[in-house]
Amino acid sequence: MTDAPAIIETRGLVKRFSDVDAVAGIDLRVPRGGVYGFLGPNGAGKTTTIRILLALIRPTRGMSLLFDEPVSPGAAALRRVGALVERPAFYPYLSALDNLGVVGRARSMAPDEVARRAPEALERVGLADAAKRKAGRFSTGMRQRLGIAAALLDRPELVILDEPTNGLDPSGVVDVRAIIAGLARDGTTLFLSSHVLPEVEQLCDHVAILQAGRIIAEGETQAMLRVGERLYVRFDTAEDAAQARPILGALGPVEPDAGARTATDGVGAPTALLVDTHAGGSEVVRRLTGAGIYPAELSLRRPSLESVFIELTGDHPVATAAPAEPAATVPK
Amino acid sequence: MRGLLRADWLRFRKRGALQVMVIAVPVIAAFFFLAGYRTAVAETIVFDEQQMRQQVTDEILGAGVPPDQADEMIQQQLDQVRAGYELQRAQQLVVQSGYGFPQSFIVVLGNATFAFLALILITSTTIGDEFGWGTVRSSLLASSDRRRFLLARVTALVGVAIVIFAALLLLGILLPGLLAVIGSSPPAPPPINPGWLGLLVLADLVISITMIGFATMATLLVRSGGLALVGALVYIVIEGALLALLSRFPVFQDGGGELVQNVGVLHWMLNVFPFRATVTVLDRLAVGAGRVEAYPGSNGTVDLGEAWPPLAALVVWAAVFLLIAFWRFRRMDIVE
Repeated sequence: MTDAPAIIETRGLVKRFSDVDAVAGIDLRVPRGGVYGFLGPNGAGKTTTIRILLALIRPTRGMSLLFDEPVSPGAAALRRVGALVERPAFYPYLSALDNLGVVGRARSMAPDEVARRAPEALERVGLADAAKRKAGRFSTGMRQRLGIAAALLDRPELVILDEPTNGLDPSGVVDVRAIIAGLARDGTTLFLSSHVLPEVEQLCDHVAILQAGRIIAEGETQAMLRVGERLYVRFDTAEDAAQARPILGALGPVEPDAGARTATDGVGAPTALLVDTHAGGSEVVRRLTGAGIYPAELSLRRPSLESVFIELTGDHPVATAAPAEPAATVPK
Repeated sequence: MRGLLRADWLRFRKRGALQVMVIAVPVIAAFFFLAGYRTAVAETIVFDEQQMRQQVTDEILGAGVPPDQADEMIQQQLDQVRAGYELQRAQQLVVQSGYGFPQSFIVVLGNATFAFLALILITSTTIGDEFGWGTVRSSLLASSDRRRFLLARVTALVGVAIVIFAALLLLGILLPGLLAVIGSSPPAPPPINPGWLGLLVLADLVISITMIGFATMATLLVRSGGLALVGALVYIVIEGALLALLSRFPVFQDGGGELVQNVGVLHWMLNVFPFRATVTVLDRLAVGAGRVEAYPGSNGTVDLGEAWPPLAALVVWAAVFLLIAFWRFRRMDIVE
């Protein structure tokens, strides 16, 4: 974890509903700048944690800090935060523009500032044409866009987004991802809770994975993905693969690749191996060719965040993704 | 705080249902005013002495009274009937003159019970919808200071109450004028007591704040405007039943009406229940403002001093309701 100053910090956060610990002791430290991903299966406690961070619910134990200030209703730090929590709710009888007007006024923005920024925010999320339509007639995706516009209205230093692409069509998803990336580039810190793992993988610098109210993994996204990296070595024959196995075994644990076998029914002898090693591709080639074995293909396979997530939160093994780039070009 | 009030102003200004509820109050008040005046005028009693003399004569002679004694009896009976008619007529004139300016203020303000019911409805709707629509979350994300948020909302609702009562006061001026225009002016009303009228207006505001506080508390306790309204109705029934039960005990009895008669030592306690207190305060202050402490033909005078304990109780109730509402809102988890 980085030593950069934390913009969000929680210490031993617990929230108990009846006899269930929705949050069971979360220690979180989100650095300033960048996009921090907050992952977890349904019911893991993501939204509850976010609600605690935003003073919507009170923790049973522990504390949370925003900008080094303890979170409580009315805390000054909360004025520096824009947020979208679950499905955004708006006054159905007000237009999109008026709903943003209510948000702006409640945030103590000057009237002329609200009048200037509200149309800009709607433009940014692609709702300029629907500015005067009543929010009650909005689709889920439009409400989601309006929620993002409301979160960004006051140009906050920290933006907390809970499932921001929920209900959006594909172009909306692309738009929102572009907005998130743009905000991060501009120096805004984003705390992003999402079920869409490729989205998190694509956008987030840091990730925390939550299960049953606890953080079970946390770190830089790329470092987390490197943990499951394997070298994929394919041979022309099963005999070559069998001969190469003890040689590669000296570099690290080796297992046959389930997808490459002599028989197409998946039960034949393996023709490809997966090597869990820190040795580079050139070292592998050197050793194999030294033994007179010539690999037909050598590549680096990285797990997707999804497979890491499934491995951490379920009983499924880490499945390596499709070949990435040739091993020689991947730094190890 | 100013920003929150401006936000509430925008919300209220664009809320059609709220406008309908606010406008409905003076419309209903005008309807009841005109209907009440029509009833008061329609039942005007006319004493036809010749017809009545004939009727009394027929009755007495028909009863077999000798003619030499009949004349005196007829005259006595006729005097009694005439006195009764005159009393009724005096009472009618008092009632009818209440519809003339400036007594019309008192009729409009003193019968504003439905305005308080409207305020309960408006409060539970505007606060309950925040939970129903989940906008309480959006609102608190925009401004997390719950105390200020609720204070702004209650202040805005008190503003709505002021608008409603200003409209009622305006009706007190316009409606007698309307009666004059249609050629049905009420009898010249006696002058009002401006001090008591001021107190009546003040009491209307105190009661409004009490009702807003009650509805706010109930809505926040159950997180639903609809449920809060049901709760309010249930409470009114319970309060009525409890008052009926307590009234059976001599110590709580208040003479059975407005007039000071055989009152129990603890009769004032019945007037500290919120809704009974409302009725008592409005009644006593309306009487004081209209200078009708002694109704024609009554055996006593209305004790205007009985207005103070319930008025004080209403102030206490308002404070209690609002304190509970603020405490509840500050501590509640927003899971909507």
